[in-house]
Amino acid sequence: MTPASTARPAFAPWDRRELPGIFTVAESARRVGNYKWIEMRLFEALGGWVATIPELDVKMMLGRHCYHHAWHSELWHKRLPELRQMDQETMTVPPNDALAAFVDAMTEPEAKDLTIEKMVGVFRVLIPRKIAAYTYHLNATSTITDAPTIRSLNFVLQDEFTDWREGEMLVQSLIRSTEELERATKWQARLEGLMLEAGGIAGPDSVGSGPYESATQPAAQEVSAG
Amino acid sequence: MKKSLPAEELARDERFRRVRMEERFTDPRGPGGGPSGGAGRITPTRPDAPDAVRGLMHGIFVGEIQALEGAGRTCWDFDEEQAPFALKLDMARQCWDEARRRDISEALRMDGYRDRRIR
Repeated sequence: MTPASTARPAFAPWDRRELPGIFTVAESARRVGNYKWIEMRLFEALGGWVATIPELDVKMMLGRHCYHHAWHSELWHKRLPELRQMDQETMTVPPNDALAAFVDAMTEPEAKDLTIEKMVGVFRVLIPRKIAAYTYHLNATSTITDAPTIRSLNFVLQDEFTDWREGEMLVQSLIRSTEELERATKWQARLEGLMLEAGGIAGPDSVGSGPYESATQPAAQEVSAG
Repeated sequence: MKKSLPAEELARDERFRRVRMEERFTDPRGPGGGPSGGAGRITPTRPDAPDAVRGLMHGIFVGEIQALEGAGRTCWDFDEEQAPFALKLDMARQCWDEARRRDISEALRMDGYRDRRIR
């Protein structure tokens, strides 16, 4: 009679991670390259706007947020080689021309009396789209093979939620008249139109492209990533 | 937003008054004049010491804002060939650091520069 094994199980009973994810390694890398691109454009814009904003509290907040997004771009920069993309520069691109056009439009406001437009573009249009795309990636990717991306996504999302809340409170405090409200909504509508065309920070499938995609799930060997 | 913002376009609220460098150095409350003047040294026993401390702290406060703006504009004004990615990351980090230093200056000013330790 064979004695009962005393070896521990290969996975703890409470470990519910799963191998399959929706993305191939190439698709994960494409998205991460898009993430790095938008984080860079955002931290550069916030840094540039600091000098154009007279309100001291806003000026200081942008200094703080500028670094948050720079750090996010660094996380994505470091993740790219782990996803088999050694040439980080060629991957650091927008998903399409429409998103580049969105960023051009978002960074148009320069005059010192346009703080509302600057803040609305970032906190009411771009950051909600970032939270959406990051959350989709977090929920859709392999919890085993893409765990390093998931860890970064969690760090980044924590910043995004905190910064969005702070930015939204700031926008609410800046809008004090119906005229200012009209300015904010008009500007938001223009930028939302451009973002609609882009489909999100990672393109048209930033938050998935329809029903659950299990039918298109890649084979296990395709999802393995360092 | 254009690249390379002229210094006269740096945005300030109505509490600020822009002065030229020569005005600053001939201001009796500043490092160039007055009984506490000379190399910015503060002598606590002198009667005008509180004004001298306020002047020094104001200079630090203004300097932090300018440093924040300079670091921020370095992120925006230059492409990656002129300012490599690593440099831009450092400049972004400096933005945060300068903003915190401004916060310290302002918090101390609001507190009347009383003698208390920053925890």
